[in-house]
Amino acid sequence: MKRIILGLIAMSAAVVFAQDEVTQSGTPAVLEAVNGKKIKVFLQSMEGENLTFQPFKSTKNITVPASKINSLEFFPKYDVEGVNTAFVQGDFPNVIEVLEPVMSELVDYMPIENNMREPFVMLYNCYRFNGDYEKAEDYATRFLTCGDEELEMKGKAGLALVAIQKEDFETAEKYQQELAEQSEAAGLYLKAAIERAKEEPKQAMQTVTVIIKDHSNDQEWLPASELLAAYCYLDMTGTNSVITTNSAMNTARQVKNMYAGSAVAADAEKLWVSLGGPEIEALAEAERAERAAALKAEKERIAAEEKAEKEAAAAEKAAEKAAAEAAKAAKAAAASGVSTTETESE
Amino acid sequence: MMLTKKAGRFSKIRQSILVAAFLFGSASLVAAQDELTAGEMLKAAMQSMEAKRYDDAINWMYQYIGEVEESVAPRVMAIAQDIRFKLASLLLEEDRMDEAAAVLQDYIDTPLAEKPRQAMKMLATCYYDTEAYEECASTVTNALYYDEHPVLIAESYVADEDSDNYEKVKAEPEPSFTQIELNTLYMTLAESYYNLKQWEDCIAPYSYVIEHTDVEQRKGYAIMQVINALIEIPSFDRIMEWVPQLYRTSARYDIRVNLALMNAAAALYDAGEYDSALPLYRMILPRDVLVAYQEERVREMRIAAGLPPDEGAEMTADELLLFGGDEPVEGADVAADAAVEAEKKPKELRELEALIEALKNLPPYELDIQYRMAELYNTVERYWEALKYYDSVYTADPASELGERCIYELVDMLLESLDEIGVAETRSYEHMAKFKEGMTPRQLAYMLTGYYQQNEIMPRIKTLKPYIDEFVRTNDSIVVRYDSELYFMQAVSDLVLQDYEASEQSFKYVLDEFPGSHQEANSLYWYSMSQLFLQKYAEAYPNFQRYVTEFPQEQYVDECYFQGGICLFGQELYDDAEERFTFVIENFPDSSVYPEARSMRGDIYGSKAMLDEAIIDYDEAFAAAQNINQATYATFQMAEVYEAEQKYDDIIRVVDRYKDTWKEQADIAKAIYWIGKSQIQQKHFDEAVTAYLDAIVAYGGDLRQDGVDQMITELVKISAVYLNDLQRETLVTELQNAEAVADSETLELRLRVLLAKLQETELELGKELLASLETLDNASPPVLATICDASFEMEDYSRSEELLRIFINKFEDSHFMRAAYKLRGYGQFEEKDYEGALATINDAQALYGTEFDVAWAQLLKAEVLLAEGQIDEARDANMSVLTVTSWRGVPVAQATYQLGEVEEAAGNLEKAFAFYQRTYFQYKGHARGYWAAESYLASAEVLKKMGGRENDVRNTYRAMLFDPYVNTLPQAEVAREYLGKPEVADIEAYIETGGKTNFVITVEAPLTVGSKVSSEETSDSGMPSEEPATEESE
Repeated sequence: MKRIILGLIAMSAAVVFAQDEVTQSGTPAVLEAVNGKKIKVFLQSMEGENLTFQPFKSTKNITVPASKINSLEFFPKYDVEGVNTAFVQGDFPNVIEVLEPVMSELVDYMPIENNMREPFVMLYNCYRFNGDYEKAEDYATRFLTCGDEELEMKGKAGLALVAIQKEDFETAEKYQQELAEQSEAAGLYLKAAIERAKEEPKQAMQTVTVIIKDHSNDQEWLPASELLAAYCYLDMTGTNSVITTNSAMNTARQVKNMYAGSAVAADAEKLWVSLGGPEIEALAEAERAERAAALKAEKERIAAEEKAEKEAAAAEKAAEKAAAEAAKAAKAAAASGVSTTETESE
Repeated sequence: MMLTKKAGRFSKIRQSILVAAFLFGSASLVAAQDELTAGEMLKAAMQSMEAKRYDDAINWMYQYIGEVEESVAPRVMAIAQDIRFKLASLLLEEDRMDEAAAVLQDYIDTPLAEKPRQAMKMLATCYYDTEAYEECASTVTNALYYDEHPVLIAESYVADEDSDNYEKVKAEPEPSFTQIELNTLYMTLAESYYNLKQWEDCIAPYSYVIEHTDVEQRKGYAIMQVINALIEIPSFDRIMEWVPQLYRTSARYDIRVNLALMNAAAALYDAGEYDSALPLYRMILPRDVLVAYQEERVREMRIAAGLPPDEGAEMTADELLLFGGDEPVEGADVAADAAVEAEKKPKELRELEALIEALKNLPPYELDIQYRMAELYNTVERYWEALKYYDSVYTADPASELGERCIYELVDMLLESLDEIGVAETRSYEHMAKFKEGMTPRQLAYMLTGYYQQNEIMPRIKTLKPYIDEFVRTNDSIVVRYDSELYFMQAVSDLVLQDYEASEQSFKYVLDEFPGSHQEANSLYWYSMSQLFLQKYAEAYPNFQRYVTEFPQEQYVDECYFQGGICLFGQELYDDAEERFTFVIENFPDSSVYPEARSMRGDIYGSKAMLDEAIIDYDEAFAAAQNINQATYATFQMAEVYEAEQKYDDIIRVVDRYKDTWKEQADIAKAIYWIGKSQIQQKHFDEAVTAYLDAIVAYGGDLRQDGVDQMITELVKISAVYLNDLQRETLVTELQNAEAVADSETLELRLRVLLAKLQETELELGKELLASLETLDNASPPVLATICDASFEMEDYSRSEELLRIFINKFEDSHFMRAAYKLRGYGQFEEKDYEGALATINDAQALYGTEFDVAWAQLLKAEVLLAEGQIDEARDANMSVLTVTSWRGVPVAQATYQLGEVEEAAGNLEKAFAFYQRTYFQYKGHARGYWAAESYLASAEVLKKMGGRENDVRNTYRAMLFDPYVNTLPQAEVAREYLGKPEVADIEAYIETGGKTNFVITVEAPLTVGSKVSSEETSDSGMPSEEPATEESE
């Protein structure tokens, strides 16, 4: 069956390219079959497990099971770099404005491996950060159907995070438990997020420390966990007078620096700025400069003193030498019976 | 210049080699060279090469080059260049780097080089391998420049000079460096700069490699080197841009990278660059992980090299099939196999194996890394993360130095940064229970002690004592210092907890166990102070004297002189005390005890009626007062003196001065109290009442204003003594109005108590408050005292402990506290807590002595002692009541009755009878006849016990019914019942007729105190001759 379908795809393509140019509609893409063959297609629809497309220059709809397709390559027309920059800068409305029309056309095809999954996840994050939980939930639900473990985890985490925002802790905990079986770090992150939402920042913080300690190289969950730690510290300033905003500010600063260029870092930077981080840093820098200047001045003073001492010693030595020579000369003059006065007059 | 210099060096090398070849080479070669032509030499070289006789080939090549070196014939030059290249290749193969470098330099410098790029690359390798980094850097730079700007002179030169050889020379020009070659060259350049410590210069070539290489290991290594260079520059702010890149490469598993990470992280940490150090520390992999990863790589490399995956293991048939391998050699021994294997091992594999071995030989570093991370988190105030890492290290190795440091830091952070005292205690106790030696358990105990002190949880300090006692003592000076400090703090906690007996013992322990310790002087001072608090004046005095003798330079010298004076005062050695206070006044005018010495001497002068002198001292004390208490004491002592002298204007003057000087710190309520008191004496009643009323309303909301409470007492007195009914009514109305609008519960309660006192409804109010007040937090001393009185009346002792504790904790100077002591004492007696009751009594007596309303303490003491079966002590206690002037009246009546009880308990029935009889004879008017009534009944019971005295018993009951002071009391019912209705009816009828009795019961018994009771002590009417005392008459 597989062979027949692949053959069909290949044959269709061959037929299509042999035909005259036709006007086609649909989503342009390059389809790579599981045998590695690639064809240009116009995607028509994705219904259930089946993908319907028209080969390039053909108006004939061909429907194949998604399992027979290795990947799709889309050619969206948007400023990828601009969107990425906007995202890491936390400009979520802008990202949504650009990506939403793009993804609305592609979203149905996401269950098949493709080159637009990153923006797909990005858009979910934008909806969530922007407070549009309905859409975020919709996207996160779609992640679950993509047959990709990493995406599935993101979907569960996404649904849990949306549930937390809605204070639906039962749902959040359900996903958290499922996720914990797939990734301990992910499970712990959600556990901490739930604890924080339940206004138990100390408990949340202790959970986060497990992630930091035991998953210190988990690039997927560690940055978010550390950012969560910053917020937990901030929460604690309200409940525990011992913890000051310094803890939150320092954590935010470290997250900002360590994960520079990521959305997490952008968020951390916002927090850091809101806590007066730049001012404190500037102050510390000024103090450092002042100390350095003082140190330099002190060194110069010591050097000048040493120089003066050396010069004085040298002068003293020279004077001693001169005196000794004068004495010697006087002695010699006396020995020769000529007085100094006489010598001078000569 | 560099190249020329180098070329010169290698020219010399080459010459010397040629010379050596001539001098020490094979005889055949030497002999042959004279005979062979250049072409033959070339042929011999090629033949030697084919025969793999490389040394011979090299020598022939050297000879050939030497032979044709001077030739300018293009063909010869071209061949010579080709031979140079081959020679250099052979020399490199033979690891003769210096020679290879010289040959390559000649090759590069000479025209008609076909492969200058390759030559430069090889030359760079030579220089690098011989650690000639400057030359290496120049060579690479030249190579890279040449790659961009190749010189094509060779082609044109050959074409012009010898067209016959054109085709050969015109061969395909040398291709540019491949990307891989470029990467290698840039890496070599970067490494050269790095080794030359040209930190800034090395960054660009490393960056090139990072950008262009596909080999993750190489990329990671380059990033790590950039980070190291930036550390060396130093340029910490640029480091962070590289770290995330390093994170993403598998170079994180490279051993050298990990070792470099450790160094880099440590350098950053030491430089205070915590943000940069943290991710580096995180990236360092545990040794096991690293070794496992690299051993897997070794297996892969071995397989790639055609070796068995594991060293020393024989390959299975499958592995041979899969990985290939040499055919087994018959009879080959293991050593030979090893040698063969060593021969086949690529350099990279050998290096990696050596690195793994070195890594395995490293001392464990994981805990050290974790400790560093904990420190780092701690420094940036990420306490919970720090806690996690400290805990991890401690749990892994609690007994190590690192583990001990971790538990110390952990507890310190829990206490100081997280305020998690519960966890800190648990962790400390666990450690202290398990590890009893060395510094750490002591440091933990010290930290906890400090925390408890700082947070005023002194009782918790005592929980440490069992652990401290278990610590293993040594002679180590620091350990001894800690021990003395810990025991000193234990003693201090006893002192603060006002357990002076314990503190006396504890400070003595420090003095005895740690002679010469840094706390010796302090211990001696507080040991003396503890004795002073215990009123052991005679014992404390020599200790204060010892302090001033042994520690004349220490901080408490002035205090000790002063407290010595207090000891003398306490021993009633007033002249000596006066002399001592004078000494303090004269010698320590700036001391904090100076004003107190002044006040104390003022008190002595006052007691000697030297009022002017007293006033001078108080005045000086006020002027020198360093705190409000000293000023307050001096001021109101002056007021007392002026009151005695009836100098009310002066009272007002000094109190006003006090208010003006100390402003908001001043005890305003007390000041108003004194001003009001003066106004009363000046007959300005309305002003005084108004002043008090205003002050009560103004300050009554503040629980700590004890002056308000004094005003309440005073106002009650004024009302009773000086105000007429109308004024009294007006006062009550004003108080009621104030109560209605009171904005605090404290004020409202104070006003209600004042009203109750004025209206004589205190008991009712007390009962009401007892039932209604959920918390006593807002109750001031008079309110609490009212509740105490009501509780006592109701014999409800359930809150007695709480009430007394409130007083002790909040109002220890209040004179209202005596009500709480009374309630508590009786409550303890009721519970048969005799020890507790005696302790309460002792405290009350220590505070109030023989004041008239504290007689209950002595009476209760006697009761307690009797209950404990201490007959003699109980007798003495009761007897002592009879000797105190201020306790005349009811207390004496009760004491006399109780003496009867004592004697009865001792079996001295006659004596008991005598005391009972004396009670109902002499004190029937007291306590509304209560003690008299009790005495009648007790007398009757004693008579019954004596036996054969039925008539006396009946007469006693008859006398009771005839006694108008008691016959209406409930106790009289006992007599009525005993006598029966008919006789009782007769007695009542007889009384109605105005008749009196002459029932006198005589029991001979000697009394130790007072007059003998006998039948002679009767009046005509048969009653005692002395008119019974009444409360009113007294």
